[in-house]
Order: sequence, then structure tokens, then C-alpha cells
Amino acid sequence: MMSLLEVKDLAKHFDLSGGWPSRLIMGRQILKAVDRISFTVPEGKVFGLVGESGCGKSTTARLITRLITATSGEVYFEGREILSLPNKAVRELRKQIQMIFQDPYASLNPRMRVVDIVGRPVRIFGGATGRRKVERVVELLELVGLNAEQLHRYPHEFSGGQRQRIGIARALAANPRLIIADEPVSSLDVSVQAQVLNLLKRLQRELKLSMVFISHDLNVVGYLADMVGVMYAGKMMEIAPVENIFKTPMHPYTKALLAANPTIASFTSYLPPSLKGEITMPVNPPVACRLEPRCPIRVEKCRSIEPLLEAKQSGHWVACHEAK
Amino acid sequence: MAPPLLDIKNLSVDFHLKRGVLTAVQDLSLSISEGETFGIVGETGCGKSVTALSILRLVPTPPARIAQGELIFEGEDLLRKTAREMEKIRGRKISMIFQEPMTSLNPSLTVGTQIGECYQVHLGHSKKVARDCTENVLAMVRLPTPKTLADRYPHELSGGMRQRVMIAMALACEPKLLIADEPTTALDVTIQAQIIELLQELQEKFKMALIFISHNLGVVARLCDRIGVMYAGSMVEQAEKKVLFTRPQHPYTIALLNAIPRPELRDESLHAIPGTVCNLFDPPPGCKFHPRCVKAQEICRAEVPRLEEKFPDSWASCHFPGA
Repeated sequence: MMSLLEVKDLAKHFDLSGGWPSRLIMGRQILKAVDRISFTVPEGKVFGLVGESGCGKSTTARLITRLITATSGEVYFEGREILSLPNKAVRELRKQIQMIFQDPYASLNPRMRVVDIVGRPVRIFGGATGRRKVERVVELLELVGLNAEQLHRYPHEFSGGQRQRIGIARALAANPRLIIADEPVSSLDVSVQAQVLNLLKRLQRELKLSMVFISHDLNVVGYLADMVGVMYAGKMMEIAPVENIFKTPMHPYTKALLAANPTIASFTSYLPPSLKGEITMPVNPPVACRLEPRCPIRVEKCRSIEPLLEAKQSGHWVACHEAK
Repeated sequence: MAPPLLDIKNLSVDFHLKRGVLTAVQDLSLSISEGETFGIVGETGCGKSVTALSILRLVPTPPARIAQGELIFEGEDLLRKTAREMEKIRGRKISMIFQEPMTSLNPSLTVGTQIGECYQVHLGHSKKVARDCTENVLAMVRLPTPKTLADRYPHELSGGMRQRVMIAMALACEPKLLIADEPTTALDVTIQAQIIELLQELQEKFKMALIFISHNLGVVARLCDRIGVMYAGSMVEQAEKKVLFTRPQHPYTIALLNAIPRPELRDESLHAIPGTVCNLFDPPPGCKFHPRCVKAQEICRAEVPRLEEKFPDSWASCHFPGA
């Protein structure tokens, strides 16, 4: 299977040290938001990234789309390394990789009409102007379940779900090969969320899109993704096909996430004890497992040796000393 | 049977705004016994928060007006209380926790000062006694090092810790009823699980009743004994938890349950509810859900269905209940 996107040892470190006085007193403060993660997205598949706030999932999205620069690592798109591309070539790249954002209120310009919001990428990437542009916009709107009458409306005239549809239409305008969706349904109510999820699933199948789908909600990821990567404090903890994540999770963090995941079946099921403690930001992290302070199955070496992501079964990767 | 702790009868709350009159809560009735957990679920704008705020008479009036109804708490109507009498009830007998702990804590006062205030105001404790009680209650919500924590400011704490502080504050005077309005929505799942565990444990300890408001059916399923489902200001279904999840009656409840994504459903499309919630300024006649309902008939457009007991432990307001 050809992989469309390959992420290798990708890292992003933020320097929180501040000016020299605080640096003198506190030393250098490096936040390792994304710390050497690797994964691949096969052609036409959905790779789900889950994790709690601050685990680095959104940073990963921004790195791949080159919205921020990586500290180290490589990202291959269609076999070509893209982190080292000059800025001019990045424009060309954006035609191929498009993003859908979480907040449909903040990601649409309130002063632009739908025809301009969706029309802009049509003009820039497709070169269409005038009537051809409008025709293409209408086509895109219909694809996402909106209609031509809504062409000249402003974002505030739409509901949250409809705005997210506009965001999707805008992302599709360039005919991208890869979509990075960062929590696209998190701000929506369940009934509307279902509409948008159906739409994403349909579009993904019809247009054979490859997708990196980021969410904190395991239910949503389980519904949409083919492969799932679980992140914690900047590290990839487990990568597996979606069935394995739900049926035979191996990493203690994945297990804890599943246990804490509220489902409607939980009215009968026994509630296992939750993970103790809180997520610590990986600022100057020691060489150890990031989950160690909270882990229920930790052993001595978890404190001194960092577990590496290794294949425990074919296609099922886990970073844990004790996982079986 | 003992009378319920809180009995809400036919509560309606209107908002008088420039655009017109908006009925946020319409003819809502529910009752809670001592020690019981009642969950209210519904989507954005269904009136769940307004219901909670009206119990404590915290809806801003004007523009809001409690148009009708009674709120019988321990045999007395809260709507007939004076402002001063209400002050004695809030925080003492009925407490509330809000969604966003950062905005509901005062950023310029230490955590200890804010919690201590409850003891000083409601129980008349001296500053010193209040401080001791504060440290106790902070330990009770399982916050580490309560002594030093009491001197911290809210911004120094994480979201989960802040929510624990809110819970400590709400429980300071051992209220009979705790209203929790989306207390875990802003938190991560593992922290959410911790808070739910904590609430369950404390509720058992104090034998208090809990009204838990959430948009997440899964969370409510975990915590509550009875559940009420709200849509566009009305209670459309009210049932014992197990009954609600195994034999839902109202089409809206059924649709909501079917709209939740699950990994088992990945090969089918989800049963999304068509359309959007009606405009509350100008609600459709009859049943407010009929424009989106798969079972809608002529009668649904003409007649508002009443909340009736369809079978034991299950109430629904629908002309054609059941699957």
C-alpha cells in the first residue's frame, strides 16, 4: 500500500524561557509539544489522532500543513519531503493539503459572503473567475448539502453546522488529496454533529480523500477513522487499526481513555477507576515514559528508560515497557 | 412516600427582548427526592440552564420573567421568597456548580478566602474556624496539600483543580440539593471521569440530591438515576435511566440516541436529525419537534402533546410514542 503522507520523527519544541533574567534563574524552559512522532497515512484512508488537551495533536496538524515550522523531523507527501520546501513551493503544496478547523465561527471571515469565502480558493488554485468561479462554488455548496440561494449570504446567517459545511466546501475547493481536519465536529450538538460526520464520511468515500482526523472524542474517531494514533503529552503512545484500539488496546493510556469515555452503554457497565492525577505539560521532560506519574502498571524502568514505539503485532504499535 | 425535596410544577420562563418574547422554558414539571440524582439532557438552547438558574432565581429579570409555575422546595414555594430569604437558601440549602470554573471564581481572591466566605456568611463562623473548615473541605474534594492550596489564586490551578474548588465551595455548607450545570464539559475525559467519581462519592456521603445538566448522554448515563430530555424549552421525556436507554419513547430521544457515533456503526451512516432546532421566537404550532419528526401526523401540528405516563417509570410528551 502506498502511503500518501509519512511523518518521521517530527518534533516541535517551544522555548518558554523568556528573557535573559529568567533564563539565568530558571534555566532554559523547553516545551516539547510534539516530540519525535512518526506515523503514516495510506492513500484513501482516514488516520485519527486522539488525545487530551495539550497532547500535541493540533500542533501536529499545523506542522504538516506548514503553518508553523518544525524543530526537527521529516514529512513526506507523495514521497517528497515537504518541511524543507521553500516558501514559494508551499503555496503549491496547499493545493494538495487543505485544512478544516474546529471553530466554524472563528474560521470564516464575517465580512465575506459565502461566494467569496469558497470562491477564493477556487480562483487561486483553480484559476477560475467570473461565471465559471460561481458555477464551481455552487457545485461545491451542493456537494456539502447547501444550495445556490445561500451564495450571497454572510457567515452569521448560518447555523453552526452549516458554517462547518462552508468550511468543508472551502477545503474541497482546491481538490486536495489530503485533508487535515482539526476537531471539525467538536463544537457541534449531537444531532448536527451526526449530519456533519455523515457528510465527511460520504465525501471521503466518494472523493477517495485521505484524511488526518483530529479529535478528543473517541466515539467520533472510532466512527470515522481507519487507523488511530493515541497521543499523550507530545508522544505517540499507540498506533493501531481502529478495531484493535477499541477491542484489544494495549497501552495503559489508551485503556484509561476508553474507560473514561462516556458512552450510552455506560448506564449498565461497571466503571473502572479513572487515571489518577493530571496531565503535566512536557516542559524539560526527563528521559522517561511521559505517562509514568499516572500509570497504573508502571515499573522501575519506566522512570529511566523511555519506551519506544514498537510493533507488538502487525500494524499495532505500542510505546510501553509493560504492555502485552 | 415522603414528599419530594424539590417539586417544580408547570414552570414557564419568558425572555422579553427587543425581537419579541422568547419562551425559554415552557410548562416544565419535575420532582426530586432526597439523595436522588436527576439528569437533564438536551442540545444547545433547549432551556436546561435556564431551568437550573430559575430554581435559584438567578435568571436576570428583566429581561426574563417567570411567567407561571411553582418551585416547591421543602414544602415552600421559592418563587414567593423575598430576595433576602433567597440569599439564605443559595449556597446554604441549594448550591450550584457552573461549567467554566475560571469565570465563576473571583480571580483576585485566593481560593481559601472564597470558600471561607461561605462559612462566615452562612454559618457565622469566625475567620479562624472558617479557615479550618476550608482546609477540611479542600481535602475532602481530594485536592493535594489543602493548607498551601488555600492561599493560591484560581489562575494558578488547572481546570480540573478549579472544578474541584468549585465543588468544595458548593459543598461547604452541606446543601440538600446541588445543581451542576455542565460541570465536566470543559474538562478532558480522564479528568471528567475523576470529577464524576468524586461527585458520586460526595453525594453518597452527604445524602444530597443532585441535578446534573449535560449535553452528553453518556455522562448522564453514568451518573443519574432518572433522566429528563429537553427540546426547545419543553421536557419531552422523563424516565428512569435504564428505561430511557432500553425503551425510549419520544422520537427526539430515539433520534438523539441514534445520532451518537460509535465504532460499531462505522459502516452505516448515522441517523442525523434533519433540519435545525426551531426558532424559539416563533415556535411551530403543536408539538415543537414535529417539523423534524419522522412520525409527524396532522394532530402533531394542531395539538401540543402533554407529558403523560406511557408505562411505569416512563413519561413522554408525544402523540405517537415508542419505537
